[in-house]
This record gives sequence, C-alpha cells and structure tokens, in this order.
Amino acid sequence: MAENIFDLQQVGFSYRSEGALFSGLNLTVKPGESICLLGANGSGKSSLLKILCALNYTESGLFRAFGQEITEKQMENDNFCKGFYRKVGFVFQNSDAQLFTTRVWDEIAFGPLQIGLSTEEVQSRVNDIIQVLQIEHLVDRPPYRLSGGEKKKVALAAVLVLNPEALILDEPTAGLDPRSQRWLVELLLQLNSVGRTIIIATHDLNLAHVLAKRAVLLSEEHKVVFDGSTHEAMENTDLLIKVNLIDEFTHTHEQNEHMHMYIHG
Amino acid sequence: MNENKCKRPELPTWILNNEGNSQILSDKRGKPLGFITKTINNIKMIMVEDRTSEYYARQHGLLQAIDPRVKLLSVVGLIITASLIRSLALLVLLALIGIMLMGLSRLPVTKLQLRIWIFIPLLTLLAAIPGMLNVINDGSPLLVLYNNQDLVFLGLHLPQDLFISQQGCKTAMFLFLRVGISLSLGATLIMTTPLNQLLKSLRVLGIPNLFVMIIEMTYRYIVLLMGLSLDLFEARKVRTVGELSTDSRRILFGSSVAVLFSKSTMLADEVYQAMTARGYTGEAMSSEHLCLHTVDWVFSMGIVVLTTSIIIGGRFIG
Repeated sequence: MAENIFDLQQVGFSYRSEGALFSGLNLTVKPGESICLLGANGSGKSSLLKILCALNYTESGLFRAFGQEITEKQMENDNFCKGFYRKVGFVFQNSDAQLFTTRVWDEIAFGPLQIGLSTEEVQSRVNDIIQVLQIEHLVDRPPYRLSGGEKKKVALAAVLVLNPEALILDEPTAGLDPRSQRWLVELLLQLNSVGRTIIIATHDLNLAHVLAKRAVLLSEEHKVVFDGSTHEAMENTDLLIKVNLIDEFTHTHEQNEHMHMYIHG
Repeated sequence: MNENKCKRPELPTWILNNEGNSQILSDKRGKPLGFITKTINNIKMIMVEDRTSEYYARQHGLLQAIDPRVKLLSVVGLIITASLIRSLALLVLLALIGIMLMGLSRLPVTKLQLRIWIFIPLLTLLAAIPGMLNVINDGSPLLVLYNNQDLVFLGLHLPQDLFISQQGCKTAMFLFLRVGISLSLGATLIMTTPLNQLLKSLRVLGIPNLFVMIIEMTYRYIVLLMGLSLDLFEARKVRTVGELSTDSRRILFGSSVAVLFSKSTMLADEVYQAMTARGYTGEAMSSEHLCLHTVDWVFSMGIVVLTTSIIIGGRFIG
C-alpha cells in the first residue's frame, strides 16, 4: 500500500486568464486520516478538492495519488481513470448538480452496475446503503424534486455505494438542518473509524472541530498557512481572524454593547 | 426521552472491508478519450473563451476606453464601408486598420488574425471558386484550364474554353476580404467590450429593450446551464468506474437530458419569480445616461473622417 494517498509537491494551478490560484502548494494525505480544509470564500478549497479528485489538473509541480503520478494524459487512459474513481469518491458542494438520473434508485445503482457485480449483489448493496442513509421512502422519486437535505443524502449514498478508499466532500453540511448535520457527522466519523480517509472542505469551524483530527488552513491569498491538529488551529484565534474564518462582531443586547467572535457556518 | 436523537448509522459489512486497498491503478492502455471527458473539455474550453473575452475587455487599451455605443456605431460604420468600397487596395487598407485597432486595444493580434482569416473567409473563398470561372464571371483569362475543346461530362456539353477570369478572381477576393474584415472588426468589438455594455449599446440602434433583455437572459442561461452541465458531466465522470451496457448508456443519456431539461425549467421558474418579486410586470426598463467624453468624440470624428475618405477615395482608386 502506498505510504501517502495523496501527495502534492510544489503544485501550481490557475484558471486560465485569471492568474495563478496556487503556486508551490504542498500537501500530503495519509491513509485513514480525517482532514478538513478550512478557508474563507474564494480561498481555493473547492479547487484544491477538484485537484485531489483529478477534475482540475496541476500546471506545475507533482501530484501523486496512491503512489502514481496523476496527469491529464494519465487520466485520459480509460482503465486508469476508472480505477482512480473506484478509489476516490467525491461529493459535490451542490448535490443538485451531482444527480443526473430521473430516479433515486437508479442514481445509487449507477456505480455498482459498472463494476461487474451480479444483479443480486447490486440490489443488495444499493438496498444496504439506502438503509444506512435512511432514504427508503425516496427510492422511486426523481432526485431533482427532493429537498436540499434529501439530495445531499442521495448524493452521499451514490458515492458511498462504491465503497471508495478516500471520501472527499465539499461543504458537506451546507444547507442541512441541525439534525441532518449531526447525523452526517456521525456517519463520517464511523466511516473514518473503519479506515476510510475523509477530506472535507468547509468554513464551518464546529464541523471541522468535531470531524477532523487535522486541519489545513488556506488563506485568502490561496496559501497553506497552517497544517496541524484541528484543536491547535481552533485555539489560534489570531490566525482564524487573519484567514477570515472568524470575525469580531459588535452588537447590542438590551442597550448593552457586546463584542465577541463571529464564526461562519 | 428525546425521540429526535440522532441514531448512529450501522454500516454494512461490505463497507467494513476496504475493497479499494487491494486494487492497484492500472497503467494498461484503455479506450481512447470518452464522450464524457471530451464533453467536459469542450465545455471548459467555451468557459475559458468566455473568461478570456472578459479579461481582454478589462485591459487598458484604445477601444476599451471608448464608450460602447460609439464603438458599436463605429464598427457598424466600418463594416458598411467595407461592403460599399470597390477597391481591393482600400479593402486591404481597411483590414490593416482592423489589425491596428486590435493591436492598440492590446488583443493577441497574431492569434486572433490567424483564427479569423483561416476559418470562415477561407471557407468563403473555397465556396467562391466556381464564381471565378469564366462560365459565371466572364472576362479576361487569368489562368486557362483548357482551350477549344469539345468535352462531354455525364452527357453534358462543357464550354469550349474554361478559364479563371480576372474579374471572377477579383469578385472572390472582394468577398474574402469583406468577410474577413467584418469578422475582424466584430471580434475586436466583442473582445474589448463587456457583454452587458455591448448589449445595452444595441439600444442606440433602436433595438427594443425587451429584445435586448431576452438576449441578455439567454446569455446568462447559457452560461448557467453550461456550469450545470459541467457539474453533471464531472459527477458522471467521478462515478464512472467500469463498463455499462449500450442499453444502460442509452437510458442514462436520456435521463441526463431529461434532468437537465427539468432543472432548466425549474431555474426559469425561479428566475421569473425573482423578477416578479422585484416588481417586473412584463415591461423591460433600463437606465441610460448618454455621457460621451472627449476621447469618444475624437474617436467618432476619426471614424467618420476615415470612412468618408475611404468611400470618396474609392471612386478614384480602381
């Protein structure tokens, strides 16, 4: 097994005509880690996740996943590409965009149908994941007609059913009510406890604190300004203010003016 | 006690086995670039083009400093001039002016000119080849294909003489240059003007507000739907982990089309509701302040002088 699941060395990336987004970026992810990428809006969290997921390609530096170099050319190899996505699951920030079939059951069965499982195995696996995510009542409905939380669950089910080694989630709790958030955190913690690597991008500090042992902070200038324990990151108020994750907030309660830290999310 | 308490999900046994760990990524050559990847690349390319235009429209060049209405009228004036003049030399001069405007506006001249002249005008030239022959445009021979021959082709009697005439060649060159100049000026206008300003300036030509609003919204929808399609295809790509039967692929393609259609109608409903909530009653309104600066007056005078001189001068130059 490769020592690192993901290894970014001196990576550069830009959206053409918009100047460099990342330059000289370094990041390594070991198997079984739970990592949160923290940063304000526009800090490059989603772009970094898309690099890890080989949807964006690096322009300079080296990106290795599971011990092998990932390049656009390599991903054009059909076998390699399919193998890669068997190992890496990506849950998009906008679940709505992720769902492309007209029935929830078909959406979840899309992955397993491709990996050579028998019809019974596909059915059993899809039903298992439907039970885990408690979405039995949604199986026959069109995904685009569901509520935000339901869409998120279906999107997660469609990825989890492939049992990927690394699970990458972009703003997983965005748009979820508190109970669904708590449920999702429990699920991700459990997946991490059975060895899945979890990488999430968020600006929700509470989620990061509960879910991830390691925090990577991106500044608004798209630089990694902290890479260490989440607890340590949460203690560093100055740094959190600097990267625009918390803010000083002044307001009044019954004519008394208060000032306290405001947390996004 | 608390019936809303979050129940810890129980994972099935197959999730506990880390199947992915045992698999090694295969370097073995697979099928060539698939439909999904090709589509993703194409959508990204279009989005890059869109952003590139925005990037050049923000540069500090000559045309970026000119009021979009003046620019639009000037470009229309230059295109009309190109179609009126009957002198190849003046057309070449106009093409050079187009290149100069591109350069002064800090656009990538070589790249744009190559794209402009190689594609559509060259195709136009190819289509105009029959018109260069004496059977359509008679005149003095430029290149004789054959002389005094009585040829029959598929039962049809071909003309005794066949040659490319000087007049035909000149007509084709006019066509080629006019198409190229129009494209070149159009591209310069589009790349140096933010789209919203360009559309607003259409009102100067008397185009109704409603029509301009429809074009604006169509453009926004295209950009939004492109983003939506990109997400859909990327989501599909990251979950493509093996082979699907042809039937399944066909069903999925139909599903994707249906989903995109449903999403676009829902989006249209929401946009309309948002507009209604902000007081839209079916009548398009716009705020226009015609405020031209010295540079705009100088530029428009320059264009008027240039086009008039070219049109008048064209009468004396063959």
